[in-house]
Amino acid sequence: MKIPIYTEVSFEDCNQLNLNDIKKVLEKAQVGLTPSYIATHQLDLTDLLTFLKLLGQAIDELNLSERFPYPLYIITDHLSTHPRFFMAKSVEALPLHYFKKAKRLKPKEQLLLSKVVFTGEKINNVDLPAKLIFLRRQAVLNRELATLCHELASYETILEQLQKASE
Amino acid sequence: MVKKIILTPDKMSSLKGFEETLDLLDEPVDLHEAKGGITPDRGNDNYQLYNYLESEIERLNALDVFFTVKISNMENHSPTQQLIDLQRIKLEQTRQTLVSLLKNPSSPFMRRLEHLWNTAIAKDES
Repeated sequence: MKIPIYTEVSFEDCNQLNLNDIKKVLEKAQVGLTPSYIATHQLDLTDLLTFLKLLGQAIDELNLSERFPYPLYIITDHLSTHPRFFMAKSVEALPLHYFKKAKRLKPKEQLLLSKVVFTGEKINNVDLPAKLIFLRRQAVLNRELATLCHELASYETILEQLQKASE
Repeated sequence: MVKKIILTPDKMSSLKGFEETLDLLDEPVDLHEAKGGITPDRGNDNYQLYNYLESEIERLNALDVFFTVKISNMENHSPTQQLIDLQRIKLEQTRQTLVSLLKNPSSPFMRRLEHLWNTAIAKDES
């Protein structure tokens, strides 16, 4: 069992990678079960976009999520944001929460770690992409409801003022 | 029994001149300067990972409940669409009441319109 601290997912010779290779590397690196990052400094913008597209496909096919339970970061200078992946300029710029020193665990810590791994795997088994799509759809409905509530509230205020004036 | 205490060089220097007062204590104390110094978080280092793993369990449990219980409940029994329909009916009713009130010739809106007409347009025509 690995302590959930940053792990580098390394792709040797990223340019010539295909979907199957990426899937194998992701599985081996336990992406999703541990916070990980991919350093892509050697890629130019065009190659990076192609790589991210392939990476997205591989993650979908493996039924993983790049956000839950543990995030996957892309280290690059070319992009500061991406619609799907978390981007960072350097390893030092990554969130500090997952920077911990790996060391030999005591029995109590080992027990906690087994719980962490168990819960992480449990979350990984949920159909996360479907749940995230549902959340996005729900957000649109909630926004619509909020707009209607605001409109009704403004009409009710006008009505109240009119009724007060007529009294 | 002499109690052995290991202190950092900073603490040793701050105790300079008070060595004799330490002899007045009931329990004799033997002060030693730490070789290479003591790192401030040496004592807490063991608990950092423990605390981290505990907080991770809490975070993952919250995520688990969110994805497996809360979202599933929302999927099966979401009240949002019903609330939207209800709100639309209420909105239509309020809009009709408002329009019927505003259409009344004695309503403030009509009176303001009349005033505007009389001051701006009717004057010019006469």
